[in-house]
Amino acid sequence: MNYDICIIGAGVVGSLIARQLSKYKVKIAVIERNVDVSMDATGANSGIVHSGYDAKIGTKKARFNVEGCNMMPKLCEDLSVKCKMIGSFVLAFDKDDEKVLQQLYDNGIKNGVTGMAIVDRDFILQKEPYVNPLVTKALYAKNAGIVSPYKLNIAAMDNAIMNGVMFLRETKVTGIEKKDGLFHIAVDVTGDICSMSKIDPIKEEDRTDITAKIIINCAGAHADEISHMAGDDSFKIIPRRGEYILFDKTEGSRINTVLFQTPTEKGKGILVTPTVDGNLMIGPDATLAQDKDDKCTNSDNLDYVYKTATQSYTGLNMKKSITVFAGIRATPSTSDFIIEESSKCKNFINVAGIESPGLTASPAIAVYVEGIVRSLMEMKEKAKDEYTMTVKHDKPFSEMTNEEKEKACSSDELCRKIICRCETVSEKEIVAAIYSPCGARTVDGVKKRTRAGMGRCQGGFCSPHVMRILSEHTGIPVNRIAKANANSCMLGRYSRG
Amino acid sequence: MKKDIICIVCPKGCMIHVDYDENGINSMEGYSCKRGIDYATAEILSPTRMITSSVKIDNAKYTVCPVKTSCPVNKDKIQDVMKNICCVQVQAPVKQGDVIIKDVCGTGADIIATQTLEEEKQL
Amino acid sequence: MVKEFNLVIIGGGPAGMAAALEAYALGIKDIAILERDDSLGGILKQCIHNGFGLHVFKEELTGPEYALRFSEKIKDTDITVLLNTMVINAEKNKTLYAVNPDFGFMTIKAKAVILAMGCRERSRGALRIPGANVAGIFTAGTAQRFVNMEGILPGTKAVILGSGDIGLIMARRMTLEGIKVLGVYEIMDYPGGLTRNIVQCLDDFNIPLHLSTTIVKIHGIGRVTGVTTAKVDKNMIPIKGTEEYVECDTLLLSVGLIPENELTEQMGVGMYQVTGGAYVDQDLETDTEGIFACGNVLHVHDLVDYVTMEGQKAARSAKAYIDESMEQKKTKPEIKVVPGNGLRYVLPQHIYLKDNDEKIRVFFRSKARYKDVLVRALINNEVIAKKKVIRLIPSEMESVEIKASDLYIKTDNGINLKDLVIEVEQ
Repeated sequence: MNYDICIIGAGVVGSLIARQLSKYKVKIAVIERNVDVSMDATGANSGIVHSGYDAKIGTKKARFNVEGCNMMPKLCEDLSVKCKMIGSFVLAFDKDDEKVLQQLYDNGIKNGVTGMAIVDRDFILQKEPYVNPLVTKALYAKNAGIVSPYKLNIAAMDNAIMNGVMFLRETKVTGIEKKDGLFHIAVDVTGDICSMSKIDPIKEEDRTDITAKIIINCAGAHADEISHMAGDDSFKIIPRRGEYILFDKTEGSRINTVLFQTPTEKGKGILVTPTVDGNLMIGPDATLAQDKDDKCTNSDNLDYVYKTATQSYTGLNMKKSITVFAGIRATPSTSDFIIEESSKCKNFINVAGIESPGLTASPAIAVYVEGIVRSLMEMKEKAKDEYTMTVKHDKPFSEMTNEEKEKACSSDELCRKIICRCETVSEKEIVAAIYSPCGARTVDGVKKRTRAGMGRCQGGFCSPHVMRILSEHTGIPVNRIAKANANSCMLGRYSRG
Repeated sequence: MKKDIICIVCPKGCMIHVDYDENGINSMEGYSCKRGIDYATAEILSPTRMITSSVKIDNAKYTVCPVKTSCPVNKDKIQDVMKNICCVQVQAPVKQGDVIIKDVCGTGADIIATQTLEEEKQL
Repeated sequence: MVKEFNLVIIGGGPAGMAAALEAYALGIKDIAILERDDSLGGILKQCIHNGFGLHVFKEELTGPEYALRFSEKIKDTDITVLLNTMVINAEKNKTLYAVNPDFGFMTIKAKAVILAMGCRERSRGALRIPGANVAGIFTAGTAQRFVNMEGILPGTKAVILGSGDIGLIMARRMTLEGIKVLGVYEIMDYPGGLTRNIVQCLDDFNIPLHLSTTIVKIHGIGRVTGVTTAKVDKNMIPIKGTEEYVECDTLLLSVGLIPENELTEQMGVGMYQVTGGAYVDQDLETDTEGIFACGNVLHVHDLVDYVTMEGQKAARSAKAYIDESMEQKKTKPEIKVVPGNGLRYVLPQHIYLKDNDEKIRVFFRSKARYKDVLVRALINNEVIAKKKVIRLIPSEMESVEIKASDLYIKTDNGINLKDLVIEVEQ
């Protein structure tokens, strides 16, 4: 299949770029090795909208962080994604820390960050009663917040697909060849979930003989390998693992702000934050990963995360932890984001090394990359009624008032079946997640879109029901339903044939 | 031959040491009551177990229907009984107590349904 | 839609069914059971093994059979059974909000409420077992549902963490289905489940039980490929150098049950930290008037028979409350019941004093294992009841009976209020 543009990688950066370009009259494919968007770095992200005082002045990180932070609330509104600009503190516990706060403040001013102030102990403790009372000062940033990284990612891809972008999942790029100015992309099929599904199955011709005029490399931790395929070895990606502990919603109600520790030479510290859905989360540490896909958690690292978090926050109750997870960050060997057309390969754009604050920067990166693509290729915008930049979602059942619930139930039978008790998710929401443009095909896919299984019982009760619903609608047999990729079948064989 | 048997008749859980050969039990120690002697004797001479499992069912809301043996069967018959249970297939409706297999593997025990499953209308 | 009932029972498992039938037998009109599943019976439906009912029916039944004894009787009554009904919110004034396929969103008002929601299983996340986030990790009960109700096996080679009864039962069940069960790993130095299950579920099939051992890492890509086990020291910290790798594709967790009390907490009912259930008096009434609790939502039981009896008791109390024959508790002196030496918890946690011949049964669990001990009830340093226990272990609930009149006298007719202490005699 011949495409104008192929985007490799459906993380938040790749998906937002796809959405940004989907308003043009061009044929776009997003190639993703996993079964779903948001399965690597984006899926295991802190979900913080950073205000931008951190990055070194003059870097791409600094520019796109500040721009992205300013764009984030409106983008999330357009995509019906929750984003809460709840502000952040960088907490100082001694004079040395305070010095760093001042440096961060000064750096923030240079980067163009607004709404910062150095605040005293009383201000902090009044806002956050569970902060360690030994706190002396903090850098308060009003223009910071939280967002669900995978919800943003999913909505961006939904939007892109609504505008005609082809999403080739379970498809791994294995080689890139350039002939007569055209890229030929060799791919392997990594799984059969999407071809088994009777809803929007991937047609084989869509991923046979793939050609593209422009490639945008958004392959996260593997971006250096993709770049190598195009003949550009100018950078390396160093995979770093960050581990997190997530707590019950009962714990999230006691915290209102994102709490950072003062960065030292040893590291950035551990953050304590509420999530947009009301949980409490702590993490991440940063350890060098041997393998780019090793997302294992380790007891020493989790202990470190917990112990370090207790230095700034006294309200942690380990009995209320509901899950632990790890993500791999793509740290570039160049120390700054790499967002440019390759000097070695024309029409090959690297968007690589997007580590923190990559999520915050992603909306601005998407617009910037749009500019690069326009400089390389003539593109005409579609007529206004031929595309949309907004995604509408029904309000989740759990967030409705009693009156709204009553109304929803009276008009829709599927609303009346509550599948996930912990998070009050109705069958209607699960079915909607399956039929959405970038539809869920797996148990984790349903979980990320609807929160079914995300609560305190971690799917103990609802997973059999979620699997039944997935099977009924996609036609995939129950015992072939996977947790994540095709190699992660939930169950074995039928006991009685 | 010697064998240690944990008595399960009451919560006390006595460890009963039994000395036996092909002619029967020679001696026994460690028990605290007659029930313990009876239990250990049965465990040595002819241990029996109830078997609970499930059989395939058609036209019901689940794919399997739970079953049990109507009385304990000889322990070394467990695998044979399971093989039989795995082969049968029943049609809903099934009522608790229905005999699914009569005299399974010549044990004298029947396989009976332990659940009532209505016939579900197929879509 | 607004519905009104005299008595609403949340949960149609063993506790709820027993409560409903007892309430009906006592003549309460307008009883409703709200059940989230599509039939009554709760977790009993997936417990297809036998061993239920020795106390209540004097015979051994399987879980579904035990449940049918109640659900069949309920069919012959005019008790309203609302199936597929999820209670999504509840208020202190006994107004419940529920959703059901037939009636949609319902506002349900009750004179009295019996909480019988049961419990859930502790998950991997709550234990924070490190390693890969992969498929193939199940709580024992979820695996039990898949095998026994859906007829699908969880995998081919399994390891079980925790020696709770459901884990042991699943070890046998999976072995009979041809799954290789490689071992059961228990962090404590004694098994969590009943001896009978150790013998009949593990020993019978030569499945090894590894005590003082836990799982320190889960391996795999996509699906579990193995676990690393390690011995633990007496503080339950893994001992370096004792790690062993076990290849498997399935990990079952049988590591504890947690009462499902989200609704209880929404109603503002006071909780007892140790049990994870409501704080109740001898009538199983919570600190909120007219709200009673029974079964595993109140505290985790080891025998369903006791759940049934507790459900019946809650119904008797609800009847007295609805009839307004229940004594006005607010004006009555009350004492706390506290666990003393060797005990982890007691239930009830408080007792209203009355001068009558009522017998109050106080349930308790021990912290450690004891053999041939005396458990005694003390008030004002005086022993008012004693019980010899041959074997006292954390996994088996015990009880001691106390006379209401004794408490009354020993507190100088309810004036000198001291705690009632239940303890293991040293």
